[in-house]
Amino acid sequence: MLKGFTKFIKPDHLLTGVEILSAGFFIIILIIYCTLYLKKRRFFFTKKIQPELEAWVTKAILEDSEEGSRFNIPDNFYRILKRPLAKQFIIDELIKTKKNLTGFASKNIIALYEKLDLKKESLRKLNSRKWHILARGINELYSMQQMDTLSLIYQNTNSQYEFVRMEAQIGVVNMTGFEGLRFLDVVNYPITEWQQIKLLDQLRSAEENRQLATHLPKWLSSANDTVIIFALKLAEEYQQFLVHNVVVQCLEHSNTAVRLQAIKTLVRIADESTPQILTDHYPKEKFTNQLAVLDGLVKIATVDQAWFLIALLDDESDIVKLKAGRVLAHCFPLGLEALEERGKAPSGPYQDIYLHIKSEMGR
Amino acid sequence: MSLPSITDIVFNVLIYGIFSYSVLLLLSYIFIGLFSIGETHSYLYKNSFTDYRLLAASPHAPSVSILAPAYNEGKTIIENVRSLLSIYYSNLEVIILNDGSKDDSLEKLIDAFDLKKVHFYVNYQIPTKEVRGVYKSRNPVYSKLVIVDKVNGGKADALNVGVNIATHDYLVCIDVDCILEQDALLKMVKPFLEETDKKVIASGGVVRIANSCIIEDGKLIKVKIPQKYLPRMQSLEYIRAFILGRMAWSRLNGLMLISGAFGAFDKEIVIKAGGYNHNTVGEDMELVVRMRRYLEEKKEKYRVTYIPDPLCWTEAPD
Repeated sequence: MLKGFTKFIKPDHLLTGVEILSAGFFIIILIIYCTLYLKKRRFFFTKKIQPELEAWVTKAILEDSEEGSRFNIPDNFYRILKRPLAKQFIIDELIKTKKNLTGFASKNIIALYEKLDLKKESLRKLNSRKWHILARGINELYSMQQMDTLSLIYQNTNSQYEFVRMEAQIGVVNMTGFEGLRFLDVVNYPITEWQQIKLLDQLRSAEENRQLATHLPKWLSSANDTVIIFALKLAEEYQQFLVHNVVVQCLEHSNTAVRLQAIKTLVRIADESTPQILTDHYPKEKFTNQLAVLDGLVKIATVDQAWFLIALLDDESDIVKLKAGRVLAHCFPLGLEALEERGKAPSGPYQDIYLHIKSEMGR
Repeated sequence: MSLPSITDIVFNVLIYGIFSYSVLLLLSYIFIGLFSIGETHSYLYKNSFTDYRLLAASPHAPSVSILAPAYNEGKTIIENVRSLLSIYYSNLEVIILNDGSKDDSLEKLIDAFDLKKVHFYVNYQIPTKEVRGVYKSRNPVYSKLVIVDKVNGGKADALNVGVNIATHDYLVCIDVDCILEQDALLKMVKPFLEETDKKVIASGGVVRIANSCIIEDGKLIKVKIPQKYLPRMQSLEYIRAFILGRMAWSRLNGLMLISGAFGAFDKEIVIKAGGYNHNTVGEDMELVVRMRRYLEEKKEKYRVTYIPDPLCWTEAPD
């Protein structure tokens, strides 16, 4: 074995290895240097054109003229715009500015975007195979309210690329408000909580859709659990009392997250039957959802739930005892006194719980 | 076999051994570097037009408890707490854990924030040293602030008290003397909202060296390279460790360490995993490993995420 090894190890082999490694290092350093050089060039180019472009864009969008009036575009501006980097820079600037403006100035930004033929640049991105370029194109088009591209954007609402479909979903809602939510009928990929927050934010500025209640039952029985969760949030946010019964059915869903959101939604759209529905449901739930029920009951419990809550004071979990005590103290006139009485018990954390709740209530 | 030929073999084995080790080590660094570049690119693309502000104000944003243990931090505690209270996030509570400080930290806090001792039921889900008192401010401006005074038990014990007291769903554990970027919390919380089939159990971010940087009113004004040699070397090491190493391990879902200086955790999993272990010096790594183990045993899918943005700045010894 040793002889075999000595045959293999020759200075030539070592030298070859060192050469290969050195070449590898040289290539890596060269790539890093070139990348940094290009980045630096791009940075300085942007810095150079930034003041001129910004000043001109600001002047143009604040012009007190009717929408559609034509902007005077300097010749050197067209020359600069031949550079893709400059085009992207100005698109980004226009989007950034539009986010902070409404009304006339906002319309001026869109007119400027169209006048500079930047839409072509955004549409070109829609043909890209790279997901991040495609998503950027969608973002630009909906930010600039290019309504004629709605169907193109809609096609991507169920894209296999997460970021593309997220932008497309935001886009259709941004452009058409509640109408845009029709993608919920077909989407079979999960809608993350982050995406739900973004969608709800987009809907905030939309005119309320009176048809929402008619769509909700369908979404509340979707095969996609995240669609159900989002529909529950919609019902909660827009106080859709008409779907109360459908939301109650969601308490029987197999997914814990759906049931948790259903509990939260029911509390927000509660009627006189809701506290009892929640207390009846309580024993069937997992621990975290049970805590959510108790948190919700603080807002809606009635005297009918008093015995249920008193029984929970004997629960083995101290958190349940604390939360049940909180509901008792907040919802019943003599709840705090009942807790005080319980606090006299020689064992258990009841005295501490009573003092904690009393302190919370500022009494 | 003659002595010279044996010496020859030994030398050759040594030379080739060291060479092979070096090649393997360098290749592994290149491999990790490539993974890190891929993951960082993906992060930058995904967040190139993210508006974090909507998360700060959204009623659907997850609730977060910041846990900041403090021991003999009297000189800077007021400024540090003010910095934490200025974090822009609506669903937040800031819990300062005074770990039996021997200086006047608590007195200073009571005076500065108009604190009063309140009755607080501490549910010792994780066993800890005794809590001497919980303080809240009379001033509604500081309604997010909770000060806990406890018997000294070390950083891990203080954090466990914080876990027991926290009322919100996610925990952000930080060193009280750290300076956070304005949107650090928003960036840290976002991965928890992006989970799909895999539960996000913890999230970490880049910690950078603040030596020589310009800081005013607890905010970082200008980033500068440390002037002294030692912090400068640490700066380089921090960048290597945080951006090169952890980013790649995050992509491989093999990240074992979330920095104790700034990390976010799912409270439920922290409690189920048993909280911080105070019998070790690497309690931050130990906790992540135990959380992972808990979910492995449960056969649940999970992720530990990492953000390549600098979120937290800290002073390094010079």
